[in-house]
Amino acid sequence: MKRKRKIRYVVLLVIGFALLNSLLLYFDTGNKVEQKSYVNEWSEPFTYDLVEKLETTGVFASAESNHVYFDKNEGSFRQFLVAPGDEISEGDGLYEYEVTNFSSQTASLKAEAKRLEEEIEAIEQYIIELESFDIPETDNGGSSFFSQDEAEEEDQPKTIETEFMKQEQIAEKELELAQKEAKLTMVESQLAELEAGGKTITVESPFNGVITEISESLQSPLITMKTTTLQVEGKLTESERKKVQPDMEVEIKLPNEELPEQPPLLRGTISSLRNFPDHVSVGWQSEYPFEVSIEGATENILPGYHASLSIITARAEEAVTAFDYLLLTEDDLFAWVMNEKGTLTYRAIETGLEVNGMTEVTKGLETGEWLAAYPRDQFRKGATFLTPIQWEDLYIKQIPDVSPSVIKKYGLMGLMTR
Amino acid sequence: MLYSINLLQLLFRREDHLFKIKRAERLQNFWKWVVLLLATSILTYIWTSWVGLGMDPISVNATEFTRMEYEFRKAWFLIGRTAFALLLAIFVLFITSFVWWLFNNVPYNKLVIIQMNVLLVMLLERLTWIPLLVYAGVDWYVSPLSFGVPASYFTDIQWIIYIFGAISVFQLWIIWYQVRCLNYLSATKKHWIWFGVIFWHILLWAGTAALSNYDIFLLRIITS
Repeated sequence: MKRKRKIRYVVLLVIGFALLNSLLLYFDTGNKVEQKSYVNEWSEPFTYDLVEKLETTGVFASAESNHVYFDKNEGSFRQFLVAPGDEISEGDGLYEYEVTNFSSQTASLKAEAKRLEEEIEAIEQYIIELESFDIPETDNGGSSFFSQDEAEEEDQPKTIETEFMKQEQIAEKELELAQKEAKLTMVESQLAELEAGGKTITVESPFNGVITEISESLQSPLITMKTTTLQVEGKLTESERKKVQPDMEVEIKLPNEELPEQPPLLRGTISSLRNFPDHVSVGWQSEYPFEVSIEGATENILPGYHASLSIITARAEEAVTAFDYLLLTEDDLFAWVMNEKGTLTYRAIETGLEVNGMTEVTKGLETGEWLAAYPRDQFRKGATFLTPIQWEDLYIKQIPDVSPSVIKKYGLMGLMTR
Repeated sequence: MLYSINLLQLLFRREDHLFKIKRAERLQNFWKWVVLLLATSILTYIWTSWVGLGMDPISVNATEFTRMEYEFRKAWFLIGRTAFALLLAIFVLFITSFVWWLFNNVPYNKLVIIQMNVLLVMLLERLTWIPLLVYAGVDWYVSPLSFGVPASYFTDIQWIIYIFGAISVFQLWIIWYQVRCLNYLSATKKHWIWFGVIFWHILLWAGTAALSNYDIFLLRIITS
């Protein structure tokens, strides 16, 4: 029917028209057609301390290990005076041994004492001679009173210099004397001990610590002592090792059961980090041991306790940070910024550290600028942006609290736009 | 005779209903439909402004506001929009009918019925603007269903783009529809009806363009 044909023509015409317009829009390269951008979600960068951590485990151990040795030639071993687990202070007796060559020992000690005494005497004599040494004054003999003054003046600097040299020598010798006297005292006490204790000598501990091992079979080292200061030891795998450097900070966390009076988190620094693994081989996994020195009290912690460690590998303090999904990674990094004029700009930025979905922006963004997040395909450079009403950000009860001029302005705006 | 208003039928089975309307002496459901249409208009505009249409002026200073302040301004914009929706509906239903009534010898309420469909189609046009903006970034004056796109290619002058953007396929249909109905109901000569309707629409388009061009300007004058 004619009517139906007319309708069909009209419909086709309308569709064609719409299509033509759509094509014009689509191929609009010269931006002749003004387009706006719909932004559904946006966010702001903020200031944050970004911390990149590496998680690993460690065990508490003594910071220092000291060994005590026994030379079999000195005598025959008698007995240990300590057992593993004993806490030892400096001067406590560790073991006793019988002196095999008692007489030759005493003889040699006596001889040494005598020698020392003689040396001491000689030094003392020398010192006395030095002190009594008068710097001779040049003799002018028979000169008149006038010239005597002149000569004395000339001699003054020479006298002072020699006087100085003399005092220096005296000081040197006095020091040597003191050293010799100390040694003599030691030898005399050893001798006295020998003579008093018979043939047995007790060896005292030069260190503080706890005995961890005693070699009953008298292998070297005879006694192993560990200090009571603790450190944490661990191992890093190859990939972890690449990220860690000495002096990095470490957070030490004790497992859940809290020790009384012990804070759950300790801080430390990596005091040593080995550059070579325990075992180098193609087939073996390389492990690099490291040690962490602990700051803070560790009274209730015993060696052998395990802890989880977080090594802080990188840190950005007070960094301008943005969430990862806001930034675009193409060849350079970009972000869509909603600027103060109400348009979207495509800005190049430079970033730094990346932790946990947040990225530090080193150049190009400041806190408080708005970053458009979603939907990406609607973002156009230079386009005015429109945002829907965000339900979550609106408190209905407070709507009428806004100042009346704002109400008037925006209400009228709503009234008058098309 | 009693005519029960049925807009959809009027839309699609025009001839029959126009006949009934002409003959009718009383109209049923009149005010019910008016209220319904006002409500629909308000709802439509709430939807468009919820999505953010028309908020360009707010976006200009958006970064200065906190989130909450920004949303408040949008909320008040929306409230203003509902007022606009109301006014628009009243205008289309009653003012335009008044103009037709002045120049034609047709009872006023029948003209209002004609305009009801006009309003419906206009609301439909607004609804199309939502996906166009959200998914294609085009505002009303460059909708592919209007002449704004080609106008943008030829010129950069804003108000020309606005005028041509106001001329859309919906508007053309409305013109045709109004001419047809008026022709049927009234005794005026056909070319006068054409002239009157087109003239009225040109006025409306020019008014729209002027309003769109100068809305911020007027706003400043009013609020300062």
